[in-house]
Amino acid sequence: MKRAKGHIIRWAIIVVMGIIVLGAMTSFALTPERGIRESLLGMNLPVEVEAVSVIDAGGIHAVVFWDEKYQMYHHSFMKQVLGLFWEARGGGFGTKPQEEWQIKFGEGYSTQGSRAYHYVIGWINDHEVATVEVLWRDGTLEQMEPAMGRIIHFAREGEAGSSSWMVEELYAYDRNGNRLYTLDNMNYFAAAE
Amino acid sequence: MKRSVSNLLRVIEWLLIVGGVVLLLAPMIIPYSDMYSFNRDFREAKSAGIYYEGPREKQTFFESKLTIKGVIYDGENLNVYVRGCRLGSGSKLPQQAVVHLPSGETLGPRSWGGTMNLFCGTGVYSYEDVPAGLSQITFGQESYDEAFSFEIPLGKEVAE
Repeated sequence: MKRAKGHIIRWAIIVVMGIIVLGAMTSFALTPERGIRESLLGMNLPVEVEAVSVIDAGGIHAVVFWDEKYQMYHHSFMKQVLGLFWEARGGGFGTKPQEEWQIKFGEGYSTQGSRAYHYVIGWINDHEVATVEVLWRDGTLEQMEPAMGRIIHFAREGEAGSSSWMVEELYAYDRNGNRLYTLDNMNYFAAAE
Repeated sequence: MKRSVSNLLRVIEWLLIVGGVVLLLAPMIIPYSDMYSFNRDFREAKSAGIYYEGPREKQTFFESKLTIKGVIYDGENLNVYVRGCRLGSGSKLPQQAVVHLPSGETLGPRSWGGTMNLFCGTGVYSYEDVPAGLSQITFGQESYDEAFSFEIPLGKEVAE
């Protein structure tokens, strides 16, 4: 009986420690917005943001946050610890869609172990654009409706070191399916007239 | 039999507790870095007569409570030591900060180097080629409608 009490006390200490460590790591962030707070505060960026695009790319989520007040977006890879708490794993912050481009995109990736997480992000100022399509280098096509009508966002998981997850071409279509823009790595934007 | 299971369990429990404290909890509380020894900097600066106290004032910047720990100014190099406190894993110190001189000139921005734990961080912002004979500086930064600004007199040095 006395022995059992010792075990219970020690396990209680272990559980409390686990909760503290988990809290410090994740801030118990149940939403992506809560999970990105520490990163934003650390970079002296406002924390009033909304997750406008969340893509499940295998083991990780690619999230785009929109700051309505300052008209800018952030993107971050996020891990859901225990399937619950959102934790930021690096990204790009404070991009303001500039008027001088009708459409513009960029791509990047993050390697985590043997996996690579590739993303495409950009924006559209041309109100005619209704859908965006990416042709990945391995030949697969993927389509999306721009978040809030203006943010382009794709994300995929692949093998680290493989180039098949890069963008071959990116297309933008109007409501009737007419192709308005064809972009690629060399021509990654269209200037406004 | 039952006794040995209990003993094994006890060993595992203690390993988890000690391992958790040493590897996980302690690093959150004890800042890990041997690159900075601010107290020694202050002691040396005090005996050289180039240490100045900051204003006894707290300002909030991105939820972090900032205080000036001290300024070391030898007429050429200016180091501003700042402490920022906020519970959380992110950085507690301003990314960057500038120094405004009475002449209207601005130095920086400079980013900081220092140490941090789960509760507070202490860092130094260093500026070079600073004019000699300054009697006052303003240390601050603005970012997205948030700002802090400390007026720091360099009139009387604090000796040991």
